[in-house]
Amino acid sequence: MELSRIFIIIISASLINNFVLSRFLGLCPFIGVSKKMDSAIGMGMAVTFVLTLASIIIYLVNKYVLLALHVEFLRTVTFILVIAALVQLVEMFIQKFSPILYEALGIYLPLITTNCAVLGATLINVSEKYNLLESTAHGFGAGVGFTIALILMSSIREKLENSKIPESFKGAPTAFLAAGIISLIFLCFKGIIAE
Amino acid sequence: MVSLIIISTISIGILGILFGALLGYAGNKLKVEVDPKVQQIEESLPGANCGACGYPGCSGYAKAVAEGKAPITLCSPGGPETEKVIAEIMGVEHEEGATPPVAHVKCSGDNKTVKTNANYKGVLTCNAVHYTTQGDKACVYGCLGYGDCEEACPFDAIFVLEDGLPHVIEDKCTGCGLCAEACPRDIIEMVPRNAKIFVNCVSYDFGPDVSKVCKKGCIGCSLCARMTNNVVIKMEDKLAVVDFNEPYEGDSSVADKCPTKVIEFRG
Repeated sequence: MELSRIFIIIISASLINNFVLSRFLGLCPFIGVSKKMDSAIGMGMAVTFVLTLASIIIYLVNKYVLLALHVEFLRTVTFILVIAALVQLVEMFIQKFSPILYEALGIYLPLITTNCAVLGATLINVSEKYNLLESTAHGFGAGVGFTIALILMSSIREKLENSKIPESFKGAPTAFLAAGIISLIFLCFKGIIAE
Repeated sequence: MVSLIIISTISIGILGILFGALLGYAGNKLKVEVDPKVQQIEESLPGANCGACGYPGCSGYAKAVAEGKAPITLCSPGGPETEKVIAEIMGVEHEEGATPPVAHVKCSGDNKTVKTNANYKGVLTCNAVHYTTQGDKACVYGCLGYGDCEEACPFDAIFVLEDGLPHVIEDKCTGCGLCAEACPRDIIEMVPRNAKIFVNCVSYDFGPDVSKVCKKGCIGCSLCARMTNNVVIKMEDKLAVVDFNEPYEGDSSVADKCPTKVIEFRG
């Protein structure tokens, strides 16, 4: 039962309530880093990694600091603090132990600090009252969903590069249109799980 | 109410200090050693990123030198001074290298001397002209004058002037050779700075054919080659070519005797 619930959380976070396409979180990197497939995959991996880790740590911080001291209203501030510190730590760690991965991720790693998808996922963890395992699953699912959205978008934009587009629609306008259409398609996942 | 403020301030403060300490500790512990030589060398390079060394930009070359993969002599824009600095950083013996070469344009066919046989309207780069229509000038060897060399030069040392020929500002030229590479007709040659004599033509055609298209072209009379005993100036087929490895000791008589005045002498 527990396992199926975890599975449902992952599917729900990645497809049904896709962070980019249904919740409209993390739109900045979604538009900014989706021009090339390679960078989209790199960014997706980095976000997934940080989201999973942040979900675990923020669960602990929330439970043993905020709830214990009855200062829940400090959630947003504390979470941002934790995420920023975490991303910095992860960056140092990767730079030390895997320079290749560090160069591949490049600027995207520090960019995650200000990615609202991370903050959004952790805030949802808290409001849904997920336990540690569920929080981790939700964070991971959200990361996978983000990666899927980025890869979809980048494959479309790579195709768009070579197609004939009216002058005024070149660049961001077509990207926004495409994003809207993918978002509409993702609405179809809404019926998968009967709550 | 007051206790709430105190508790929240303290808890956030402690969290902040905790994370700060953690990051500081991690920053020390996980410090990545970057070779200080790389940065030093990069600072000593001219920073033009011309690519004359064969590496992608100055930082690429600095890295290769620091790792011992590249010799210290490859930076021609920097010249001997840069070499000296790099040698000091790397702790190797510095040999007094030769001065860098300078670009020289081997064509005299300016707007007045060379005939035009067409009115060219198209892409205005030498490369495009060379590989498509051969341009408006009648000579198929000479300078096209659309300034690919000017475009390629990172140091603003070569300019196509109103006469339709590129002119090298020798003080600015660092000898990187990018203009010579850019020229589709191989008119620009990298020559020693102390070179005295030049044949400013690259046309291999028969004399009459050369005279038909250009007033100042090498007609292959071989007078100059005979005057220098076939040492400094040699005949390559129907064109006189200067061998820059041979020092020229003579005076301007060779240039004066040249029937088409295509030989240039610098005292």
